[in-house]
Amino acid sequence: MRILVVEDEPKTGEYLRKGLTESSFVADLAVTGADGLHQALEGSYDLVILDVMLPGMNGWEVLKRLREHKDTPVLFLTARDEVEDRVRGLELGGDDYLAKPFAFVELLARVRTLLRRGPVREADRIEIEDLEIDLIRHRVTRAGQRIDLTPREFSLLHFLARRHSEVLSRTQIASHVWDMNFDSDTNVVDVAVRRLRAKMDDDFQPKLIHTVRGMGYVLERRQP
Amino acid sequence: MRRLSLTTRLALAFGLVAAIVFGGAGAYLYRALAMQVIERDDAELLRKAARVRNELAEMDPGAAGAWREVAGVVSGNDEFALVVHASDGTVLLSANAGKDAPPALTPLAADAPFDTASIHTWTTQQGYSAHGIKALLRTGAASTSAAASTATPAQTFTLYQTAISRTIMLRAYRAKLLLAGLLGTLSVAALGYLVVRAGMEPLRRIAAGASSVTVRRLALPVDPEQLPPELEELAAALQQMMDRLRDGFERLSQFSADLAHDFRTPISNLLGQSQVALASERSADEYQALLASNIEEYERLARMIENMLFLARAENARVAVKPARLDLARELGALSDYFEGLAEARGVAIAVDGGGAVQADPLLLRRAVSNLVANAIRYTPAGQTVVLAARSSPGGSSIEVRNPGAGIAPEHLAKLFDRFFRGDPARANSGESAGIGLAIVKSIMDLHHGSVEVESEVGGTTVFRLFFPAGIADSAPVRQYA
Repeated sequence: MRILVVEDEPKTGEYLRKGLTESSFVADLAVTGADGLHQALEGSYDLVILDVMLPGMNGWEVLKRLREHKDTPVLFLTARDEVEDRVRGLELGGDDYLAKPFAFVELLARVRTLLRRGPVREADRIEIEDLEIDLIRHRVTRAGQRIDLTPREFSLLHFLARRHSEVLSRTQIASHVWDMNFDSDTNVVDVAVRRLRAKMDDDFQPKLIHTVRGMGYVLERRQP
Repeated sequence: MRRLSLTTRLALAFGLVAAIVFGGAGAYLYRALAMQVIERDDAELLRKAARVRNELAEMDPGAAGAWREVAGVVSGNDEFALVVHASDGTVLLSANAGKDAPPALTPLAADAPFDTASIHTWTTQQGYSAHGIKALLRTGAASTSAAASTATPAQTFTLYQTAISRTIMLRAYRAKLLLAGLLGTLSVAALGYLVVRAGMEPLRRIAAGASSVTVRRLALPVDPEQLPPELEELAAALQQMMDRLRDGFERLSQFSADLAHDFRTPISNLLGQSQVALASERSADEYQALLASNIEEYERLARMIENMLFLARAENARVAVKPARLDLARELGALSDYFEGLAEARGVAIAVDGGGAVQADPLLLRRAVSNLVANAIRYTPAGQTVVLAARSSPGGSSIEVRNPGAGIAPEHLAKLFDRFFRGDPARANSGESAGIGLAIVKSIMDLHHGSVEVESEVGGTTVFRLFFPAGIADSAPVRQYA
C-alpha cells in the first residue's frame, strides 16, 4: 500500500514517513502543496495524508485540485480543529481528518480504516491461537476451557481480537467499548484490561494481550 | 453625506425653532397692524361716503359751484376719488379719479346705511389695495331739486380709496419683520451652537478620559461628582464596564500564568529526563522506558491543550450543542458501567438511583458527569458508595453525584469551578487532575443554560448537582445507546 504524506513541518513529516514505513506501508513525503499535488497526480497512491497549513498552496487547494482528477482517499491533518474546518475539509472531498496533536496509533487506525476497501463481513467466530470467541453465543474459550466474561469484558475482548495485531489506544477502546468519546485522565481502560487479563490470559500461555507502553494495548501472538 | 455633529444638529434645531417662533410672531404683528389701518381707512371711507350722500341730497345741481361742494369731500387727499353717474351713464362728477378705475361694483340701495359690509375691496393694477363704496341716490329727493334744472339727475356715486401709502407702509413693515426674523433666527442658531458646544464640554472630557484608558490603567480619569447628573450616569456605567473588563483581564492573565505554570512541570520532566538519558550510553530497555515516560507527559500536555481549547470555545459558545432526549437511567447506567471497574479496584461501590428523561447533548452530558464521578471515586474512602441520582420534573432534570469523604472546606466551595483551582495545593501537578475538570463541568452546564452547584459537609457527604432546564425540541426521540 502506497501512502503519500504532504507535510511541511520536517519533524512531523519524517516521523510519519518512518512510522508508516515500519507499519509496512510504502510512504513518500512531499514538503510543499505544489509538490504534493504533482506527486499525488503522477504517482499511484492508495492514500494521501495531507496537512492543511502548507506554504504556498494550502491543503484545501491541493484537495480541491486533486479531486478534479482523482478519488484517492485523503486524510487531512489540521492544527485548527474548529468545526468549520472539519466541515470544509469533508465538503471538499476529504475522507477523514485528524486534529493535531494526535496519537500515532490513532493515525494508523484511521489509515487502516480508509484503506479497508468495501464492507468487511464480520465473522461469526474469531480464533487466535487457543483463544476462541463465539460471537453468536457470546462464549469465550481458552485452550478449550470456558471463560465467563461480563458483557463489557466480552466487548473489550471482541474489539481487541477483531483488530488483533493492531495497537489500540485507550481513547479508541473507551470509545468503542463504552461509547465514551472523550479523552479522560482516568485509568478506567487499564483497570478493565487488567481484569480481562486475569480471566483469560494470566493462567494461560502464550500471553495474548500486551501493553504497548505509551500507546495502548494489542492482542497478538508474540514470539516468546 | 457627512454626519452632522451633535452641536450642529442642535444649533440647526434651535434655528428652526426660532424661525417658527419669529415667523409666527411676525405674522401676528403684521396682521394686527394691517387690520388696524384697514379698519381706520374703512371708517374714513364710510364717513366720507355718508358726507357725499348728504352733500348730493342737499345739493342744488343748478347752483354754481354745487359740484365743487361735493368734490370737496375728497379734496385734500389724493387717494380718495369720487365719481357721480347719471342714470344714463353720464359722468356728472369725477374728482381725483385717475387711471385706476374701480371694477364694476354692485350698488347699495339708496337708503341703506353704510357699514363695513357695504365696502368692496380690490387690488389695482399697480398692486395697491383699494376699497370703495357704490351707492344709489334717492331719486325723490334728487328730482325735487332737479326739477328746476335741465341737467340729468344723478343716479349713483362711487367713492373709493387707492391705499397707496398704506400698502407701501405695510410692505416696508413686512420687510422689516422678515429681516428681524431672519437675523433673530441666525443669531439664535449661532448662540445655540456656542451654548451647546459649551454644554458638551463634559462629554469631551469623558471622551478624552476614555482615550487615555489602557489595559494597565482601566479607570476613567474623570470625577463623576463633577459631571452633570445625566453624564454622571454615563461615566459610572463606563467605569463599571471597565471594572468588568479589568476583572476579565485579570482572570485571563491569571489563567495564562496558571497555564504556563501547569505546562512547566511536564516540559521540565521531558527536558530533564531526556537530557539525563542522553548523557551516557543506556540499554535499549532504558531508552524505551524513557520514551514511554515521555509519551505520558506528552499525553498530559495534549489533554491539557484539548481541555483549554474546549473551555475557550465553550466560553465563546463555539461548541456545538446537539441536544437529544436522553433516558437518565440509561445514561447513568452507562457511566456507572464505565467506572465500575475503576471503582471496584479502589474498593468503592457505585449505585444508580432514580431516572427520567433529560434534554441534553449526549457527549457533553457524559463528559460532565464522568468528570464528577471520576472525582467522587478519587475522594471516596474504600468500602463506601458513590451515588448517581437522577430526577426529572416539568421544569427540568437534575443529576446528583454524591460521595462520602473528607468533604470540601467551605472557603473553597465558591472557587471550586474556577479553572486550575485545586482545593489541596499538595495535590497540584499530581497529573491525575489538571484542576480543569470542574471548570469544564461548569462550562458544559452553561452551554445547556443549566447550572451546577455543590454542597459539602466537612467529614460528611459532598453533593454535586447538575440541573438541565426543560425545553429545546422536546419531541426528539429517546436516543439509544448500544
